[in-house]
Formats: sequence, C-alpha cells, structure tokens
Amino acid sequence: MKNTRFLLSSIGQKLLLATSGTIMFLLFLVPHMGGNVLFLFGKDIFNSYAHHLHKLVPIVIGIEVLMLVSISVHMIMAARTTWANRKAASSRHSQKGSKERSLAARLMPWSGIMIFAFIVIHLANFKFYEKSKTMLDGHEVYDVYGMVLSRFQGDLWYVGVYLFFMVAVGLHLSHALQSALQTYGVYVPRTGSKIKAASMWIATGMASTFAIIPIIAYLN
Amino acid sequence: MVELNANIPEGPMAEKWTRHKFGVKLVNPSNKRKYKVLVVGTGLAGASAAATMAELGYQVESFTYSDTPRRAHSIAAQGGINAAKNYPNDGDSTHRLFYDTVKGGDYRSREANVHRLAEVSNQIIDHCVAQGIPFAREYGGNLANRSFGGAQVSRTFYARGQTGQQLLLGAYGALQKEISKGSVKMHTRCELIDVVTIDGRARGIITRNLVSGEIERHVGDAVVLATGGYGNVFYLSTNAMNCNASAAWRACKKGALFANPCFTQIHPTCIPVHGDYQSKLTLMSESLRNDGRIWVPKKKSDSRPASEIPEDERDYYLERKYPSFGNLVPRDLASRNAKEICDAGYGVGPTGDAVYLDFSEAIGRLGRDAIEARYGNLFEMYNRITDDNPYETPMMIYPAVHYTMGGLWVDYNLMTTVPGLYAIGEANFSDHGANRLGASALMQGLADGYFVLPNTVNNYLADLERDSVDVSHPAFVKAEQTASAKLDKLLAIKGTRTVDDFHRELGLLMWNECGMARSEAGLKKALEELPKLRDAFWSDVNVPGSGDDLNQALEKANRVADFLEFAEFMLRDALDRAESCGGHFRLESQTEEGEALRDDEAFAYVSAWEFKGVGEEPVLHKEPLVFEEVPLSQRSYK
Amino acid sequence: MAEKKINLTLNVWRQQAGQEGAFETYQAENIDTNASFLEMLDVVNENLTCAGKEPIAFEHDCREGICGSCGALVAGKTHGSHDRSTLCQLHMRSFEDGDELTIEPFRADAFPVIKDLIVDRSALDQIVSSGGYVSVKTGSAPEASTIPIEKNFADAAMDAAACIGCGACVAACPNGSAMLFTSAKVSQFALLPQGAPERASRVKEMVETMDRLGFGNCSNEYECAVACPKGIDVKHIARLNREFIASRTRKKK
Repeated sequence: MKNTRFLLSSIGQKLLLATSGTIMFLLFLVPHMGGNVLFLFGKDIFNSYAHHLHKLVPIVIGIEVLMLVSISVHMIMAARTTWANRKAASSRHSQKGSKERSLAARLMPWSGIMIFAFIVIHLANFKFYEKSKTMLDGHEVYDVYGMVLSRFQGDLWYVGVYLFFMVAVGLHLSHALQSALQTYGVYVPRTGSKIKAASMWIATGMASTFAIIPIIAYLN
Repeated sequence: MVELNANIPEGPMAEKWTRHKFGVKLVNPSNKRKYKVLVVGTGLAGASAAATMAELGYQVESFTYSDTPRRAHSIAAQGGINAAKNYPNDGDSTHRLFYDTVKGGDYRSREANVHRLAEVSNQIIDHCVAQGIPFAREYGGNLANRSFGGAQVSRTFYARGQTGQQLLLGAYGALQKEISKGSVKMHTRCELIDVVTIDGRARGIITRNLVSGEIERHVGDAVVLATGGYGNVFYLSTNAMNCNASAAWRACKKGALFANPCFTQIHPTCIPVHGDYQSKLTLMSESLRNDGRIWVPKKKSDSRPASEIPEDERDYYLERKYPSFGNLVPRDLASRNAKEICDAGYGVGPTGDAVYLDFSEAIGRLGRDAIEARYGNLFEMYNRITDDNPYETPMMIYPAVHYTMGGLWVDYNLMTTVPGLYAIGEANFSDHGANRLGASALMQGLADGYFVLPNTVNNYLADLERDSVDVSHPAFVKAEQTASAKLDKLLAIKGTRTVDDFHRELGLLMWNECGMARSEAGLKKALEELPKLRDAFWSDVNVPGSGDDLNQALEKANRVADFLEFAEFMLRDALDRAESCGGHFRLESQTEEGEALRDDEAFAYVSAWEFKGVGEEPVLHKEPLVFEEVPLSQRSYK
Repeated sequence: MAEKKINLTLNVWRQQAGQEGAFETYQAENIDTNASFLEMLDVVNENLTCAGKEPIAFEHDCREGICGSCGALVAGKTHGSHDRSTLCQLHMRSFEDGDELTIEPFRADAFPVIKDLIVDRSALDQIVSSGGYVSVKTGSAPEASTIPIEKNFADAAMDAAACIGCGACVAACPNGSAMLFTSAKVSQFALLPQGAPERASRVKEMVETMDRLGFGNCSNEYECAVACPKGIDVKHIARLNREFIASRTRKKK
C-alpha cells in the first residue's frame, strides 16, 4: 500500500518513468545500436552477430519480457503524468515569453508516441518478417543482412519515414537522458550544464548511428 | 473614568518578570481549550502569538487581510534582530540592551517593559534557530553578529538582508502547523472592521470578508490586536500599501486609550520622492552611512550635476556640524538635518528634496570591489529604482516615515484599558519610547508574541466567568449594523475625488505639520484643516463598485476614513508635548545649537488619549514615567 | 534619473468571481518612465475611477519585492520581466512609447482567479501546512549556539529560504507544477540539522499535498527558475527528488 502511494505520487511516477526509460535505453537501445554498427562491416559479420544472438534465446526472451514491461510502465506513467499536467495547466496564458523550454521537451509526448508507432512498424518489418536463408561458415543461417538491404533498397519513401522516426528518437533522448538524472536527484543546472550537453550529444550520436543503416542500405 | 494602572510588578528590575510569571493566575491545561482567543494580524507578533497560544491549548482564531499570513509587512525588515547573547564577548548583557533601549528611546518608554524585552531577547534567538531559520554564520559554524545604530556592541543577528522575512516565515510555519492540527482557525482576506465589547470587556470582532464582502461576527474570550503601526497616515511611507490604523482606531473608539501617537520614526536613508504618481517609499539600509558621505552644494538651487560641483563648493553638513559622529549621527538627527538643509533651498534632484550620499571617496580609498562587496545588493536595488549608478554618481536620499512608536496603551500584561483586549508588536506603545533603535522592532514583535502574551493572557482568562454570549448578542448585532452602515455610506457618496486623492492630501498635511519638525502654529493650523478635509472626504469621495464582492477601493476608503479621524490624535498629542524627544521635534524646544531639547520636568509621562467622539477633543490621561535604573541624561553627538 | 513620458496600450484581463473573463483594452497615457509598473496601474485605475468604471483589481502590498503579493503575466513574462524582480520592482523605463502589453493573471488549475488579476494561491499555504516547518514548541529550544552549522550549509539553506511564495514558478510552469516552491522549503530544512527529525515525513507529506491540490508534475524544463524573482535554483528540485527517494529507503526504526 505504502509502496503504491509512493510510486503513484508525482515524483514516484516520474521515477518509474525514468527507470523504465533507463532500462530500455541501457538494455535495448544501446545493444541494438552496437549490433547495428556491425552492419557497416558487411554481410558475414552482421549475419554472424544475428546468428549468435539467436543462440542466446533465453536471455533474449528475458530481455524481451523486460522490455514489454518497461514499455508498458513507461507509457502508462507518461500518459498519467501528461494527463495530470494538461489538467493542472488547462487554462493557458495568452502569451508565453520564455524560450527556456526546449523543442525536445515540448514534444516529449509526441515523440514518445511516434517511437511507439515506430517500434510496432519496426517489429513487423524486421522481427516478424519472413527471412530467407544464407550460408555462413558452412552453416545455414538467416540472411538478416540481406533482409535489411532489401527493405531499404529502392524505397526512398520508406527510408525517409525511417529517418523521420530517428529524429523523434533523437529528440526524445536529448530531453530524456538529462531529465532522468534530475529526477533521480542528480543536479542538472539550468545553464552551462555538462550533463545537458552530454545528453544532447549522446542523443544526436545515437539517432545518427541508427540513421546511417537505411542510408547505407539505400545507397548500396 | 478610565484609570491607568500599568500593573508593574514589585521587586528589583531584574526580577520583575520572573516574579510576575509566578504571580499570575494560571489556566489548567485541560481548561485552556475552553477559551477562545481571537488574534488579528499575522505579522511577527500576531503569528507568533497565535501559534504559541494554540500550542498551549487555547482555541485560537487568526485573521489577516492578506491572502496568506506570510505577506505581513514584518517581512520587509532588512537589518536584523537584537539579542543580549554577548557571543562576540564585547561586554553586552541584558542590562546593557535594556539600558541602550531606554536611552535610545529618549527616556519615554516604560523601564519594566523594556527590561523584560531585553530578558527574553535571548530566548527568541534560541527559538528561531531551533525553527530552522538560516541566520548568518561564521566560518566556524557559530552565529554571526553585526553592529547597528545606537549601540556600541555587536548584538544584531541577521539572515542576509532578509531577517524580517526569515523570522516571519518561521512564525508563519509555526502558525501553519497549528492550522493543520486544527488548533488555529485561519481567516485570510478578512479585515477587522469593529471590536465588540460587552459589559466593558472585549468579546469579539466584526470582520469583512474581502472576497465576498460578507460581514461576519466572531466571538471570543479575549481579542489580541497585532495590527502594526499607523505610518501610512502620511500616505508616503516605507510601510506596505495595505498597512493601516483601522483596528487600533476602532478599538480606541470602543474605549482603548491610544498612547504617544505623535511618536513616529523617520528613517534618514530612503530613496526620495520623484513624482506625484509615487505610491511608496523605499528604504536603503542605514549601513550605507558607514562609507557614504552626505553633502549638498554650497550654492542654493545649484542645478549642476554632482560631478561638476568642485570639492570646495560642497557642504558636508553632518561632518561640519557633528565633527565627532559625522555621517553616523542617530537616525533622528540625520533626518532632521536633511530636512532643514533642503527647506533652506540647498536640496538637490528634480524636486529639491534630496541630499547626496557620496561613495566616491570610499571607492577611491578602498577600491570599487570592496564597496561592491559591502553594498553591492543595495547599489543594485538603488539602480533598479532610479536608473542611476551609485558607483559613478552619488546616491540621492531623503528621510521617510517608517515606524510608529506610539500605539494602543497597554499595561505590563499587554492589555489595553479594555479588559480582554490586548495589543502586541508595533500596535502597542510600550517598549521604544520616542525613538526605536535599529533591529529592535523584530525583537519586540517576537518577544510579545512568543514569550510575553502567552504568559500573561492566562491572568485574565483564569478569572473569566463562563457565560453563554454568542454572536446573536445585541452588541454584535449593533456593531455589525454600524460597520456596514458606514460601508454603505462610503459607497453611496459617489463624489468626484478618488480615495487616493484624499489620502495624498492628508499625507501631505501630516508630513508638513506633524513630520520631522512640528510647531505650535503648524499643528494648530493642521487641526483646523483636518476636519475640513474629513468633511470633504465624506461628501465628495468616489468609491466605485459594490460592497458585496472584492472591492479594493472600498477597503482603502474605509481605512482612509479612519486615518482622517486618527490623525487628529497625532496632532493633539504633538501639540500637547511641547518638548523635543526622539522622533518628536518641536521647533520651540531646541538648544541654542538647534538640537532637540527634552523637558523631563514637564513631560516624563506617557500620553494616553481617550476618544470622546469624532471631532470632539480627546481626553488626555498621563502615565508618569519613573526611571529607577537608567539615569535621565541629555543626548549629545557633537 | 531622466524624465520621460510614454503612452501604452494595455490589454487587461477582467473577470468577476464565478464568471467568464475577457481582455479589455485601456490606454495608459503620459506615464513617467520612473514610475513602477504598479504605479502605472494606479494611474490607469485613478482614471477608470474618475470615468465611473471599476478599477482593475490587482494584488500588491510591500511594493519592494519581498511580500510576494504582486504578480501578473505581462507580455508573456511572469512579473513582467525575467530579471529577478517582482512586478512592483519593474519600472516603466523597461518599455517603449507605443508598446502594447497584455496583462493577465497567474494561471494554473491550482490558482483559481478571484477577480481580474487576483488569484487564489492558498494552495501554497496548504503545502507548507503539511510539513514546511520544524515542530518546536515555544520555550523548548536549546541554547542557540549548541549546534554549530557549517557556513556553506547555512548559506545554501538561506538561498532556498529566500522564496517569497509569489507563485510565479507555478504560473510559468507549462504543467502548473509547484515543485520549485515545495523544493525550496524541503531543501532549506534538509540542509539544516534542525530539520533532520522530520526529514522523511516532511517531504512525503508535502509532496502528497502538492499532488492532491492539483499541481502538475515537474518535467524538468526549468521555466520556473527563469521566472523566479528570487533566483531559486532547480538544484532544490533535484534535492527534493533525492529527499523523496530517501524518505522511502531510509531504514525505519
């Protein structure tokens, strides 16, 4: 009971939001980006990575369940928080004179929804997409590399959509990373903050890294 | 016939308070909840009294016209709070604080009350530290002290330049705690419009809900007025805009005597008036006089900018007249001299009512950085208001009204002449005599509220016979009718002049004739002018809107109506007191060198005025002042 | 102090209790640039009164930036500037002749409008009521010098304690959150030994009250700190978050 009250308080909700976000960031987004980088090293290396990943099924499933829980918690808490915030500031001022609030912060709920939509599309397109087989070191493995290439090659519109979603990821992360730290009680100063700068760079770096794949694949 | 009995306990000065606390009747803890105390005002005195009495177990109801108790004007006190802790080991003691306060008050305060104030001063600091008030500290972690005018020891505790704010927030926190426990019922945006007496005792108040306009009746066993001073009678003062004398005045009309109304304090270093739109004056800390030199041009009506006036054409008049104290003479002297020199035509600035406070010599001697470290925030504040840069051009200053030592007459128990009606803080008269020392207002407010009243109110309540008086009593009905009839009358006039217009005129009259220098002729003239102004107000004021919602013009009109009546007490008191003492300077009573001349033979008394009707001459009662501990002497600062 | 007169057009929010409000336009003519913003409103009100209209209701008291009574959104900025000053400390020299200014009350769900520019900020008192103090009975305090306090901590506590309760942080927050206000009080007592015994219950109760009264959440966008006339820093919000977490994890005796 006490725990529920704690977790469903304004700060508790944000702690859940920050924690679920951090889990997804560290256990999904970062490894995913690491894997994607291997795409740049060619077909064999990428397919071998995918193959080895498949061998770790129990861990992968564990992480997948964790992701499912995290994303649910993240979305529920985000919805609750946003709802409460909208309600608390339902009567708006007719003018607003400060530029303090960043675009990323303003768009958090929207970038979040877009990321969710993207995850659904992305899973449909890659995870639950029928993959052809190829030979690697004498074994028959799924040709994930080929699948990625075929998804993006010749489809500029699809690449564009993908890049658009990556912008959302970048925006979301740039506010999320520093915001989570402040929520955990790490002081993030208003101006001249290294933490703010770092979250900006990390967000930009990660979004760009993810964005490179479709570009390379398209140009290939 | 009103009889003044100060109820000063017997015994040696240093034992009076202890003996008195033992001597007073007590209320059994389980009986305390049967008594209800109404506390009006939530400044330092009111908030601390309400919170403490609630802790003791009384039912307390607290009233403020603000939206929250934390807005009270105690919050604006900058300098600090005195206490006789003697942490700096510079020879301070309870006796010295007592002595300095009596002397600083120019021997017009009651010794026993002042001694008690000095005694409880240390407990105040203990309590406030325990409340978590972030007083300034030394690097070693101990409490820091600074020195202040009128004392040769460092006994002032402070929290940056916001001591009043921090102390008030401490008392406010204590009050909010009691509110959350249900032991204090808080009424915000609720203004007292009358005091109700039944059989000669204070039994309740009538209030106006400032949002709904509703007139409400409140019954209690005792009523405490912690409603501050009357400085706004001058229109322009350093008081907050809503500060008013109404509660004290309405109490006075119900039989409480008003003591020493002519004792008002004029602070020498304020930002001068700069336009007829001006609503308020801002005080600059007295500490500026430590490094600033005060001067005016030697030539009358010299319109050259300060920088173009050569050194030998400047008159550093304080240094010239008071070579040993120079720019550091006490407040009243500094103020009076500024007025005299401006009246003689030497003043500077667009209005001619200002003198220079020049830091160029100090900047040259100590460097700009040192001055910035000492006064940076004050210079910034000055710059914000005037758009002038005091590092480059001298500041312009002029005296302004900022505290009133007079107030409701109270005995040693802080009870007025109406049984069951108490006055605490700036609203009473007792501790500061004719002049208040810096950092003593906070001390007195908290002494009264935390430590004195909660230990004296029991003496009255213990003897009180229980009765069944409630708000349907005819006295309540009548008080409510009178009060609301007055409001209706104000709204019905619909004349041509605004309330502020009248207030401004009253202020100017009082400032000219009852300000820094008073004369028999001027006071008599003002006593003739005042009734005319009052009549004009009641026939030509324009109060827009209605009485049944939030109407700030009506609130103001009701207060100004009271100022217009109360001002007469000030003028009469100033006229009666044909001596000069502290903040009261009668032109007829000065030494050959033009210094204030006290007349202890004729005027060593407290004037307590009894209201006899609007426009009727009030009756003067005198409480003789006896000085057992502090020998009477004439102040000299040459 | 240069003398200059300017003319302004004001769009002022007018609202009666329980009714819908709307903007009305007034001319502020011949305003001395040395006047404060509130003195300019005084002039407008005098003219409205003389013209038989009801003056604009606005809250104000000390007019020197410490009581926290005044405040309105002027041209989109709380207190009319983001210059660490209150509305009463804003002077007309900050404006140009011919400026058109929109003046509206501090809006937030927790601050219902009472009349015109006056809002009900009593929710802030309720937050304080639920723990923004040290429970010490008058007379029970130990000698003041008993506990030395490191100067840095005393100074930091003072930084937090400087809050004047004006509510600009709530008005500026896109979520109508009172985190900066609440954190300032929590921070003050968290930094001082006197606050230690009630440390855990204080933060829990105050946050709970804040939530119950309809304030929004902090989304770490720091508009509040820009708006604060006393420069209260967002580090206090970080400390509030830490205190809140610690209130749960600290061992129960």
